[in-house]
Amino acid sequence: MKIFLIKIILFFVLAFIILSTIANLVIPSGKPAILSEQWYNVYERIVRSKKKIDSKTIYIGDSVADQIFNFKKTRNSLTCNAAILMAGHYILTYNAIENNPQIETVVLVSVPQEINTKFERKQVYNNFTLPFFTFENLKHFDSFLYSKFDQFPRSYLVLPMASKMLPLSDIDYAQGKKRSDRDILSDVSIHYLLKLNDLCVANNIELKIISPPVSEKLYKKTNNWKKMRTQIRELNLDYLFVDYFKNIRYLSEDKFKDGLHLKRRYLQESFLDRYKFNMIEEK
Amino acid sequence: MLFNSIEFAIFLPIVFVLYWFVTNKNLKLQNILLLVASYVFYGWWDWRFLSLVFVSSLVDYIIGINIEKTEKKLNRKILLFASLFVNLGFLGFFKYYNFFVDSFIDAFSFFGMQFQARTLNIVLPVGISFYTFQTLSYTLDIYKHRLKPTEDIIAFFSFVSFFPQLVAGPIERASNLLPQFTKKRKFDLLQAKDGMRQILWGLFKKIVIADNAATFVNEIFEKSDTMPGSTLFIAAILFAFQIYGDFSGYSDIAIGTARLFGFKLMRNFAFPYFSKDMAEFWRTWHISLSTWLRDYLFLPTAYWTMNKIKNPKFLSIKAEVWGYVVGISFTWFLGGLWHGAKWTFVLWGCLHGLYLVVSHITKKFRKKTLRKLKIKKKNPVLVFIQTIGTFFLVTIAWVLFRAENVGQAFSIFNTILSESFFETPNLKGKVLLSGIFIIFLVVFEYIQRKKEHALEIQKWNLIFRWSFYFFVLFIGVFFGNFNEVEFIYFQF
Repeated sequence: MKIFLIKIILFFVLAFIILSTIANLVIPSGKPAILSEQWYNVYERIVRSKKKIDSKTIYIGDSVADQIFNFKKTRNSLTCNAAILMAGHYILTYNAIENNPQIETVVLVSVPQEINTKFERKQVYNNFTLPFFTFENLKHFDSFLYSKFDQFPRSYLVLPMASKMLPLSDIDYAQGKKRSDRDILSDVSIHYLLKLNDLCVANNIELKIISPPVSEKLYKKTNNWKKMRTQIRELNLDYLFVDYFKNIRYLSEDKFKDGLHLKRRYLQESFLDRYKFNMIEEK
Repeated sequence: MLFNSIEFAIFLPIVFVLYWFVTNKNLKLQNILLLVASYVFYGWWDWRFLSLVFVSSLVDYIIGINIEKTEKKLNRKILLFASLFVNLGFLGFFKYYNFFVDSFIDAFSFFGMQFQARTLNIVLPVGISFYTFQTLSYTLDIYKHRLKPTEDIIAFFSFVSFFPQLVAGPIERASNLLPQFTKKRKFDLLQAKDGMRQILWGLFKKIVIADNAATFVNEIFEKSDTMPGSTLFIAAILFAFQIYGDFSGYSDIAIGTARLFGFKLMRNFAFPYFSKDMAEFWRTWHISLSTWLRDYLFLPTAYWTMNKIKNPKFLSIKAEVWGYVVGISFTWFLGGLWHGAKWTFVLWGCLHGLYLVVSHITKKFRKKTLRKLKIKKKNPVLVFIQTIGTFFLVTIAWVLFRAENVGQAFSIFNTILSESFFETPNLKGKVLLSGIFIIFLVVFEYIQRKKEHALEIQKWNLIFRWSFYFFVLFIGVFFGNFNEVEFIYFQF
C-alpha cells in the first residue's frame, strides 16, 4: 500500500513539474497553438507590456480599440479586450510604466458599453483570472478582487503556472445570466479606474480616456449614455472622462459586423483616419 | 457523478483512503462504506432515483431468499414472476412507457383509427437498464439453482449499487461479483497499479478520442441534410470510434476503479474493431451484455425452438438452424430495444441479428470457398479484408444507432451512396487532430490486442513506461475535451 501511494504521489509530483516546465516555456513566449487565439492574445499583451516600448504614449483598451490600434501590430498598443477587466488594463499599464520610464501618456481606448465590464461576465475567467492571477501579479490583487473570487473558489486553483494548462473547466462568472446594465460603470471598473489614475498621478503621467466609434443605435438606445454620465457626475469622476462622451464618433449600423466591432473593410479606413477622428494626439 | 469530472477526482481518493485506512479491519464496515459511497455517487445525479435502486435491491434480496426456501415449483415461479414484474415494471415504465404509447397511437392511426392516450413527462433514471439486468440475473440464477442467495443484506445492496459499474456496467453476474463482497479483501499492489493504468487509458479514450470526435459528429448529424456524402461517411466512421472510446473508456475506468478496491470485474471489451466477423465482434464488444443476452435470452429461446421442432428438419432446414435464427432474431430485437426506446435502436438490433444469421448460415460455404482457393485462415490479406469488412458492417449499423430517427438514417445512407460521396468533405481543423489520435489508438491497441487492456505495459522498461504514462496524460491535458460530456451509455 505504501509503495502504491508513494508511486502515485511521485507520478503526480513529476507530472506537475513537467507541466510547470512546459507552462513556463509555452505560456510566456512561444506560439502556443494549443491555446485558443483569444487566450493567446492576452498572454501576448502581457509579454509586450514587459518589453521596451519605443514611445512616450501607450494605448490600453477593449477589442474595438484593439481592432484599430493593433491593426498593424503597433508596439505601443497594449489594447486587448474588455474581458480582461479594468484590473487587467491596470496591470498591463503598471508593467509598461515599470519597464518604460519615458512614458508620458496612457490612453485608455474603450467604447462605453465595454469600459463598464463587470466581473460577473462569462469570458472573464479565461481572459482575466487565468492569465493575470499569478504569483507575480499578487501585489495587484486586493480584497476587492478576492471578495469576487470568494464567490467562485475554484478560481484560486489557477494561481500556479502549471495549473493554467490544466483543464479545470471554464467558470462562467455570469452563471448563465445575460449581460445587463451595460450603460453604467461596474464596481470593478470604478475600483481599478481609480487605481489606474493613482498610478498615473504617482508617475506623473497623463491619463486620457477616449472611445472608438460607436453604433448610432446605441446613442439612441442609451439616450447618449445618460445613466453613465449621471453616475460619473455623482461619483465625481468627471475629471477622468473629460470630453469622453462629447468626442464619441457615431457611425451607422452597416459599419459594424456585430453592432460593436468594425467591419474589416472599414478598419483600414478607420486606422488611417484615427487621427482625423480626434481620438488621439500622437506624441 | 461523471468519471471525467472534478467531483469524481475528489470523491475517489477520499473513498479509497477511508476504505483501506479506516474501515480495512472490518469487512462489514468496508461494505457499508462502499454502499454509502455508491449511493452518494448515484445520488449526485438525482437523489430521488436512489429509491428505485433501493426498492429493486430489496425486492430481489427478499425474493432470492424465499425462492431458495420454497420447494414447490409453482411458488418458486410466482416469486420469480414477482421479481420480473417489479424490475421490468420499473424499466418498462421509466424507459418504454412513452415509446409504446406513441407506437400504439401511430399503429392505430395507420389503420385509420384514432387512439387517445397521454404520454408522460418521464425522466429516465441513469443506468436503470444496467442494474435491472444485474439484479434480474441474480434472481434467475437462484431460480435455476445456479446460485445460492446471500443473507448478507449489506453485501447484496453493495453488489447491486457498486459505484464503478452502477450506471453503465459491466453488467456483473452475482456469481462473479457477490462472493467478492463476502470475502475479506486484501490490497494487491499489482492489481492496483494495473487498475490505475486502465483508468488512465479509459480517460484517454473518453476525453481525447470520444469527446473530440463527438464535437464533429454531433455537428454533422445535426445538419446531415445539408452535408455531402463524403462528410457523412467520415462522421459515421468517427462515430464508430466515438462510441468505442466512450463506452470502452467507461468500462476501463470502471474496471480499473474496482481493482483499486480489490474487486475484479468482468472484461467488457476485447479490442472489438479487430474482429474478423460479426460473431467475433459480439464476443468482444460489450461482453457483459452479449453474454447476458446469450445466457438468459438466446439459449433459452434457441432450445425452446429446437424442442418445439420434433423432427431433425423443418421445411428442409435443420432444427438447429431454426433454433439459431429464432434465438438470434428474438434476442437482437430485444437487445436493440434494451439500448433505447426508439425504432432506430430496434432496427440497429435487427440489423445485427441479420448480420449474425447470415454469418452463421454462410459459415460452411465461406470455409469451403477459402479451402478451394487455398487461402489460409491466417493469411494477413484475408484477415485485413475481413477486419475492414466487419468494421464497415458495424459502422453501417452505427448510423442507425446515432440517427435521430429512421428517416434521418436512411437519408444519410442515401447521401453517402450519392455522387456527393466524391465531393471534398467539410472538415475542420480539429477533425484532423481527432484522426491522428484515432490512428494512434488503433495502432497502439493493435500492438496490445493480446493483452487484457491496452495499457498493460508493466513489462516495459521503467523509463519508457513512465514516459508513456506522461505522454498519454499530457495528450489528455492538452488535447482532451473537458466539457464533462456525459457517457453515451448513461442514457440506456
